[in-house]
Amino acid sequence: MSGFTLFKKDISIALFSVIILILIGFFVEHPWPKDFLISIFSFGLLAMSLNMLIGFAGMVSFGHAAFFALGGYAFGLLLQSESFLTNFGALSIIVAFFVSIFITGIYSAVIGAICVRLNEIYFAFLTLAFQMFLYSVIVSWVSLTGGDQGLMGGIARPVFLGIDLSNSLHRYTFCSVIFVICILLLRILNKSNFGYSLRLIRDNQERAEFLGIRVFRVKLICFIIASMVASVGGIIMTLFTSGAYPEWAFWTQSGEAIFMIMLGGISIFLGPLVGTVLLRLINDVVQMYSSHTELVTGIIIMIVVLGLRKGLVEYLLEKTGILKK
Amino acid sequence: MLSISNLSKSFGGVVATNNVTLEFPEGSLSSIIGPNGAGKTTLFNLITGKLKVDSGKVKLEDEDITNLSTRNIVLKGISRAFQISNIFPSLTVKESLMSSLMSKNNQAEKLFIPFHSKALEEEAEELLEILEMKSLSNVICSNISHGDQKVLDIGLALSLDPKILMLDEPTAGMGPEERWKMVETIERLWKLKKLTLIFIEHDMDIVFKISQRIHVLRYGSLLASGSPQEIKNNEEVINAYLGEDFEAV
Repeated sequence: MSGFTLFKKDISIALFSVIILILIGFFVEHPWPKDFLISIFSFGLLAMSLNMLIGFAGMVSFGHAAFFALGGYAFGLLLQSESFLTNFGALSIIVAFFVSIFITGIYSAVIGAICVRLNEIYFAFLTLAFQMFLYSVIVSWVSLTGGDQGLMGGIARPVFLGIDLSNSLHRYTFCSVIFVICILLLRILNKSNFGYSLRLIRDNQERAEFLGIRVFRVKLICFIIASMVASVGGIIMTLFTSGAYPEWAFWTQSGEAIFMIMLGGISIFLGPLVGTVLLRLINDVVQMYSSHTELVTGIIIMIVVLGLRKGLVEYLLEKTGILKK
Repeated sequence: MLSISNLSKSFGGVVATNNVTLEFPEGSLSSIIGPNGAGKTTLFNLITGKLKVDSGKVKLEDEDITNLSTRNIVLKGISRAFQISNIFPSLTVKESLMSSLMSKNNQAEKLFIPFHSKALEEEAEELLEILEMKSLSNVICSNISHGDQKVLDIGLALSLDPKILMLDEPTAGMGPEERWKMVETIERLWKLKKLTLIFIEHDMDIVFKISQRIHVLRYGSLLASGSPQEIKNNEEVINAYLGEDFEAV
């Protein structure tokens, strides 16, 4: 099979998914499915982009949610700024969207340049430290970020190209398109030459170097792209909640993303997304019956991790014989 | 082709490589032998840029390549295989070779070029043919035999189209039959690709059978250099390494 048809297949699947998602938006009256799906888009991008680091490249980051939070805060702050809104008018949302991703990209380049030189536990803890640094900044810079209250007062959503993001259907459609584009991007990267360079590094960094791979550079690019995709997740959350909250930058948020990956499966491309759906569902269902959500979620994760010793998707695919081990 | 002069390296107080000067002519097949801890692998690491040289020079065709980065040395045409086969456990045999070919073609950082391209697959298949590994093409590397992993390791080095190929104990951990098969493979590749080949080996039967020149290291220093005949009759080498009753084939 030639390479182009491989990408063509992924692009068609993406188009198909967008259509399905949009149809759901149009035909489902009840607000719950849409709200639920938007939270999946947001946290799904966090988990999927984290798996680009963990699953593709073998870099276990404990501080990935920092970039999710940064994207969300940057987006919210820009749209709360009077001068920004007067300058860009109807284009404000689009400009804020790209500027927030860009800011996250720059920030992650600096953090990444320091962190990706390290391996394994050192990398994990340094990313965690930088995440907690960002958290402290958010919590203590009350005049800018609202501190532990979060970014209050709502954000402006000027209409652009006929899209009104304060309308729930428009917002949902907008988010689903962005979401699918990001997933498609990750998919293409996964199957590209770059994706295979990441596999080489994950499997055997020393050997990759002896094949002439620029290990530092490849890891840094991966770190930056993953961070930028995570920031899109944060932006979607900010659009949805009309605010931004310091918990997004707290280490438990990164931990939750790791749980999502473990639940779904690290080695299957869409595994983390399935994990996201599972974790959100468990959360929502448990919340209806008990206030001890974390306890129940923790037990379920332990059952999956200790019982199956792999993600649910991996387990099912192996059971049905699709994935051979 | 490759020459090293007065190369030294020490770790703390231990001198691992002591003022070694060697010459590897173009198209030659040389071996490096010596007792454990003689500094054979260290010498490889110094030449390939894995370790920084303390003093001395490494020259490739009159160009100074001392202390260049691993990648730059690879680009200059020196590649190596490892003592413990050093491969990519989760990729298939073919994918591993495709990956190294992609790196050789300087395409490894392309974000939007699909990895599974016809051209790359054909290039890898050619290589599989040369390595006589076609039947293993779609097997995951961690599932192939130890001997095949060693061949694949050499294949990875070979895929970079090197002028100089360095093999660190290519027959380590193999049974007698497998060993001679490996030796055949190495000789075949050496002739086919017109390589300058340098290998470290502990099996003296193999060393004396195929080497054109043999270099003996001891305690980091060069003890002797010469043709198999010369080395076999060298008193010092016999005393230090080969032993009194050594009878080479």
